[in-house]
Amino acid sequence: MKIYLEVGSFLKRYTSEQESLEIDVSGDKTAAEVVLSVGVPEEEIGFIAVNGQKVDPDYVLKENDIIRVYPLIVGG
Amino acid sequence: MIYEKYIRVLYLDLTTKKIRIENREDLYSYLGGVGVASKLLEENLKPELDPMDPQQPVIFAIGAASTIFPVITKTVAMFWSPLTGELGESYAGGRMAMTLFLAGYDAIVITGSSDKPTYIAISRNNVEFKDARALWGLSCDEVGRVVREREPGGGKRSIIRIGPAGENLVNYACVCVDTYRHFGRLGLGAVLGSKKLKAISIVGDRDLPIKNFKEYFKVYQELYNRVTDTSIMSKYHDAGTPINIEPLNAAGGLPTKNLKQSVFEHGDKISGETFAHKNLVRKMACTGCPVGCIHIGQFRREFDKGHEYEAVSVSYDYELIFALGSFLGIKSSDEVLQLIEVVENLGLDAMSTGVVLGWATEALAKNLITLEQTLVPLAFGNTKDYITAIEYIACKKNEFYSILAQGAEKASDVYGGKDFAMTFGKNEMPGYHTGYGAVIGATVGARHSHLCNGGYSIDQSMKEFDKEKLVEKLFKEEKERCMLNSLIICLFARKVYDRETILAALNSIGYELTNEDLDAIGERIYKTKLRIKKMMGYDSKNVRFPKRVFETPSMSGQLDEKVAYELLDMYNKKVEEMMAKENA
Repeated sequence: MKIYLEVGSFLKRYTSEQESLEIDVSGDKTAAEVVLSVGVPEEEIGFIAVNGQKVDPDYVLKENDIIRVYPLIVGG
Repeated sequence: MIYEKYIRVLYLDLTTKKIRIENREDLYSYLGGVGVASKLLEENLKPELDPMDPQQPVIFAIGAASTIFPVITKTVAMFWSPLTGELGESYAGGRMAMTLFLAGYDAIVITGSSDKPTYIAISRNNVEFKDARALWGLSCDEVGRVVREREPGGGKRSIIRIGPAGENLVNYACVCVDTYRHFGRLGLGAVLGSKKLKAISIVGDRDLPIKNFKEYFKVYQELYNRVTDTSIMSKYHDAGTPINIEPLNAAGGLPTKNLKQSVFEHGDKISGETFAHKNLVRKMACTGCPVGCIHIGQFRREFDKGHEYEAVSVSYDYELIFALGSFLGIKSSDEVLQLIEVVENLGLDAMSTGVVLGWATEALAKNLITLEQTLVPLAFGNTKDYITAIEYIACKKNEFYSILAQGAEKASDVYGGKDFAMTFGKNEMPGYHTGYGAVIGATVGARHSHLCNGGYSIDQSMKEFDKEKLVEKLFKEEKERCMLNSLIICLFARKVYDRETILAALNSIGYELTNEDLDAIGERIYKTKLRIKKMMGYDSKNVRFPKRVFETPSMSGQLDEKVAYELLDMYNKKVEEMMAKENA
């Protein structure tokens, strides 16, 4: 099935500056598995949203889901 | 002082114009930075007098490893805050720590008050009190330019100064350090203003050979590589802290329109990416830092008819974008920069200014105050009127603005609207509506800052909300940061400087410290701060939470007022237990 991954701001460095990726996944895959599979390190992930809603990392993806991965909140 | 078992303190009395230098062996166990500054504040404070009485001290101190290792770049200032009426503690980068270190001073204690505007020129072998009457009234930018022209030492010099807001004793006036850095919070600018101290120039030109260079360089190189070759610090250089706008807004943690909302419908227009694309022109670093997290943005200003424009450069960070952006409903990066420029030049803390104006905007809409008082129709998103209002705060234009100049807590005491006066411990809130960690952390933090214990970060990392764990983490982090700030490590680099690294660094330059020593130092400093707060009349049982915190959903969902007070009690008990052991 096809899912879509959007990567913003700082995290683009892990996807060769691509902000939007179309990904074929087979079987049950979680949102976190897909994000990690494109090279975004776990320690840089703030949270993941699917179709505009914040989800748990172990959310199981469905056809045409749009994942967006957000960076950690940073500061002192 | 490096390789010595003492802390070298420069005492300056503005009333008598006398100076003295002491090598204080008894302060050595406080390591440096906030440890030494706390102790010096405690022993010089006059609790029976007003916070802005001329006799009250202002302390500046550098850390035990300042400028010797990468990203250890800051100076701490400690004072009696006119804003909160208790502990004042603020940090600034720039060149100040480097110049103090190379001028040969670990700390400066300033007491007294000058009878006329003065600036102080400090160098390795000399201290001069100079006439600043011609500088009084100048903006932070202008006074910096004049002192640069007058004083020698370019490149090895730091110039700190106040603007008109400090002169006029606005309770949240800041101190500008080397143009782009600040002692921003809690009103140090007003304290210097009360002493008629317009600026300090410090030249540090000492040559200081490193002993045991091989061991030192090994540690230095490892640190340098971690800072520059890994991703730990790169986000701070990349788009910088403004990247927070995007995740906070998406997760519902971005304080917007006086926290009536935690999501800003125009968040994308003031995001880190937007600033980077539209405004970013330069990145800079504090001396001794290979990261370069200072982001300089530019906006275009028409200064005359006939298409006459100038490019105006100001530094921007997340907290400024929150306070003068989302919190005021400002929906373009150019307008945020315009507001930053005004607070910069007048010498105001951007965070308090934005939050105070948020309260005033809502108070006007609710008819608690009138247009006759505000003089301009304050409304969310209206940059032009906010600029005028900021100018009115700095000059205390009328009675209303004189009260607004005392902060949101005071303004709501006088005019009402306490439920939406967004302060924690009387300090205007930081830009994180992330959950209980942020709320309790800022409330119990020694200086009521998000930087005391990183509560927002705990909210982010906690998988499941657990009261005991949250309180324990806040308490532990508060003490840990006391230790980190005795060095003074930039808190952006706290993941680089783990305990093992800190010990390797310090021991390579002659300290003989263990992990247990670092624990003890952190706790010793925290206790000192708590004693000072008590001397200043602070009682943790008297703090309040603004109701708005519980009305607007946070990043962690809706917060419950009862739970917040329960957490506060739990934290207070931990503090009482720690202090009881000390007194036993």
